[in-house]
Amino acid sequence: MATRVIVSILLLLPATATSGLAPAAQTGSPRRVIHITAERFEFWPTEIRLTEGEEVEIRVKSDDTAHGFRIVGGGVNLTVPKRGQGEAVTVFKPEKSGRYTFECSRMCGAGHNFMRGVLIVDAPEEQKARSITTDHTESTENSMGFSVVSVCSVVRGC
Amino acid sequence: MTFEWPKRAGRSSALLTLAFAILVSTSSVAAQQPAGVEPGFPSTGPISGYMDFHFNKADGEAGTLDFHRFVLLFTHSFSPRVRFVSELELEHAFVEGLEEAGELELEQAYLDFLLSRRFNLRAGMLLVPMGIINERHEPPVFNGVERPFVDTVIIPTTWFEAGAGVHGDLGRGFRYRAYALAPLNALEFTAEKGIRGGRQKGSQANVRNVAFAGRLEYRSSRHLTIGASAWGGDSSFSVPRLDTSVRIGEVDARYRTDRLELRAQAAQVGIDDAARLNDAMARLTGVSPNIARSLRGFYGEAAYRIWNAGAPRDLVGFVRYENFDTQYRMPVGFVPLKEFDREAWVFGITYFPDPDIAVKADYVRLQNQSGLVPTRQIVNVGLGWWF
Repeated sequence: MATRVIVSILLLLPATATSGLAPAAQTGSPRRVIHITAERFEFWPTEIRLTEGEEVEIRVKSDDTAHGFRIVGGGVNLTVPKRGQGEAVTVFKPEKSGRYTFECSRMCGAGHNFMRGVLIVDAPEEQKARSITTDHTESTENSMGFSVVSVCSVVRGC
Repeated sequence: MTFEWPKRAGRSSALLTLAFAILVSTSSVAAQQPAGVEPGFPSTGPISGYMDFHFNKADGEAGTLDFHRFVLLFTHSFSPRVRFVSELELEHAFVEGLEEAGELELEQAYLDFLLSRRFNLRAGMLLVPMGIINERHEPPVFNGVERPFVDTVIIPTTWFEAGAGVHGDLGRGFRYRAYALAPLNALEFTAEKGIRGGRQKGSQANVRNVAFAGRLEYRSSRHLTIGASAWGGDSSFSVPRLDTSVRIGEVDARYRTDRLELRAQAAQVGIDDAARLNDAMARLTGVSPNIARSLRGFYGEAAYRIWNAGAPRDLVGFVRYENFDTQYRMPVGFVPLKEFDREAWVFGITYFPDPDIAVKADYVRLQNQSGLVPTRQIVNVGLGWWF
């Protein structure tokens, strides 16, 4: 019985954390889910566009060995389970526009340091203007504000 | 690494010096970055590595058991932007002086200065960015107990050399590497194994001349990656009268879906002044090595995940055709040795009890164009793992 109670509490924890940090998530507004695949030695996609203030759910799965998923300077550092063993999930809400580098944080082989990508966060007005100008080259990585709403690394489903 | 300052090689040496100067100056810039923002730095390890344990049996020969590779990787991150990676390999389990049984090799040992997405610096012992396998050689990554012949004879994997260079992601699916490295030593080339013996392996490497290597990759979708690599460098530093430049061009492609994986690669090596190289080596050893002026190889591989329920229910079957010729084009006055114009069919399976453990078995039929040297049939069984 005690075990059941503990398990129930543990299962409820992520939901509690989410509701505590992300009131927007309770509004029922649809949250974009971004799927990232990790494999030696690259992520796909390597470039992801978000809008400032947009709350997204990032789900990372591996096609081979275990990888890491870290948003540099962002406090996100997940272990991505091996192929077929689930996926790592985090909810990310950038509060300022800019670039956030993400990378593999778990040694995965000879080309490990090549495993990098970028989250490009546009201001809402930039998002509109981007339909005219698509190349965004200003590098302001690591200096932007954001909030990680929840983080979990799951095995065989969340 | 031994630096010499010859009269006619000033340009290459100056370039290498410039590369190191840029590196030193940029390292101070990197050190000024806000390294403290990310918790967990500096950090070391953990140790990781991979192993390759093989059984090989050719027809008419006794089978052999070989602990082919024992590789350990050590890493240290000074900060999020400055990182050290090394790879130390023991080949064939045993090393003794003056014997060719085993090798202890420092395959990688470099510092990475991660400056931006598009431009990063790297210096130390580097893997030459050439082909599919050289930078992706962990046992679970490729099919077959042994690496493809083309990635052994034409592209001499594991090919590592001392040097420095840049790498980055250009966006829109493009990635690049460009390095200045110690060149090949042409006096170690052979008719059978091509340029393989010419690797200096960063061991007191002569950099009278510097070689340049580069690779550009394009990933158009989750499924398709296309790559092209090039190498160029004067390789006759041991015999300055010669002008033996080596040029390598390579293209490759990988296509992958949930079950199907296709790979293709082609490479060609050009050796300038090969006739005079042969003459010079004949004077040194008394035998002409019959080095070609052009070597060529290509292969195509199709693999299908027969059992796709996730490890331990994960089984891949594959077939690979290879064609490789280390006597493809000969200098005037030299006749090709047809036994080194070879082709191979490889059929095999790879079973994954864990995504990081590969149990492999294959059958190889290795033919050549000579009427004297018979076709070889080889059975290989291997166990490889990554941790």
